[in-house]
Amino acid sequence: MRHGLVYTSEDRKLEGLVLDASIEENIALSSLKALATGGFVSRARKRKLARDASTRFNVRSSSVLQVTGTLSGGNQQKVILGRATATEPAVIMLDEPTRGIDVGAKTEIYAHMVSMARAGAAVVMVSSELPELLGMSDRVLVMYRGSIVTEIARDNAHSEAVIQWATTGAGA
Amino acid sequence: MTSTAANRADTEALSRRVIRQLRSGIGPLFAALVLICIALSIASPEFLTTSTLTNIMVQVSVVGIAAVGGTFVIITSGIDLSVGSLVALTGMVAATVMAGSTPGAVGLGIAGLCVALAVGAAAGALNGLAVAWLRLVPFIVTLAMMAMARGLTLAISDGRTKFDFPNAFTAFGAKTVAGLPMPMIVMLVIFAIGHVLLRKTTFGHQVFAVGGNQEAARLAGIPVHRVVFLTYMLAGVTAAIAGIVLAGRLNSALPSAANGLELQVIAAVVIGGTSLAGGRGSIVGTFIGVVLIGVINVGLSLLGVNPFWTQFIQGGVIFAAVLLDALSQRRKQ
Repeated sequence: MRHGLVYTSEDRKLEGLVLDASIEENIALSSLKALATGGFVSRARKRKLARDASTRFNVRSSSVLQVTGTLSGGNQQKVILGRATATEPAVIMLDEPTRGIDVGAKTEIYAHMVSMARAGAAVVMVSSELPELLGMSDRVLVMYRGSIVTEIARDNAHSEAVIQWATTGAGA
Repeated sequence: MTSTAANRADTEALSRRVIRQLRSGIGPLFAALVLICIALSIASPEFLTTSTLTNIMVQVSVVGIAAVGGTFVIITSGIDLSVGSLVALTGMVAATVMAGSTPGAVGLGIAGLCVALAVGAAAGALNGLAVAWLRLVPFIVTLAMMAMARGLTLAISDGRTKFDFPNAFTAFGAKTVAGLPMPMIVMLVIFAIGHVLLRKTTFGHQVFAVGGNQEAARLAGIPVHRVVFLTYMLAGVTAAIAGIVLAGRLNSALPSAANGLELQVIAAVVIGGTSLAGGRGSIVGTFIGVVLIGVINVGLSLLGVNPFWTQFIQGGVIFAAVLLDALSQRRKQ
């Protein structure tokens, strides 16, 4: 966090959100220091931060006071992304950001990843879904048995090559 | 969404939340308290008098002050069983420091206050250290602290009561200001500070997040260990303030003081709607819980109920509170 790195977990419900708390509280979690003066959290600034993030990521909800446990998976993921990007990180690491999410929300999340990268952040996506990896990445790092075995540039990243590396740990 | 539409949506959500609070949160609790008070004032003309009401506040003050720290600990899904022993220990240590003093000894009185607070903070810090960084189970850690603090109290006092303290020390337990007893004033001030700390500050937000989902809080960059540590330290400090009020009120420190107080603290916090599972709770709820216990105690004695039954009925109230909480949680899921 301090070094501008944020991480979003692959397990949204267990490690991502405080499900009993509102969208607003969840988005504000990583920015509490920035929202506070002398240790007191400004309610207005918190509301604005949450609204901005919620609008930016198009979180579908009745308001930022809605409890996150009642949101769909895609909208929960957007809340987590809203929280992560509210800190304006230099490096953002997304672990399976589209797991269990409907197609529409997936597309939105891909679009946000692109715009984050355009804005100058390094976006690291961890995924076991080949099509999204090949579609999104500038570089693909393939892991086999716990270590990185190769780095493939976008132009050379074909599904056969990646699968070969991922299943055998060696190239063709 | 335009900002007016957003505002309207938020206002609607807010009013829904208020209604939900009234249905499931502290609303029914407050209603129960009011109903019991109305019933008692009909049943006994002595109930609704200033002296009875301030008497209730004085009686619950020690439990109430300690329950403020207890609420923070329980919201992080921890538990502190050591507060009763710490109330006794802090009072006894202060009494030892002030031994042989005259009522006018201001310096010794202040020394007693400072030592009591320091001992409470140190014991709470030990609890917090063991729970947060050594990752020991809170129940066991604070159970051990409960035994050690009680043992220490007995050891330094040789099992004897110490009494006669400087006025500077007893002021917080025995004085009245503008007709209001100090224990009540101290309790209300501590509740007000606790409420602001929990609802308005960064620390309060972090406490809720840690209790709601510790792993998510950690990944969101919240210093989970430090937050947990501080809640136990806070519980130690409020126990010390409770110890000062109790010793001052009695003008003596008993080795057996506040025996079983931790259970009353937990009962008040839980009756007040704070979840033992963590993540939910309020200082206002705890206050109502504390007052409810006090009203039931005084009410039963006004009604001439055999005091042996009081504890039984208290137990029933706790059970009912936990049951209601569990049922409302289950309905939500």
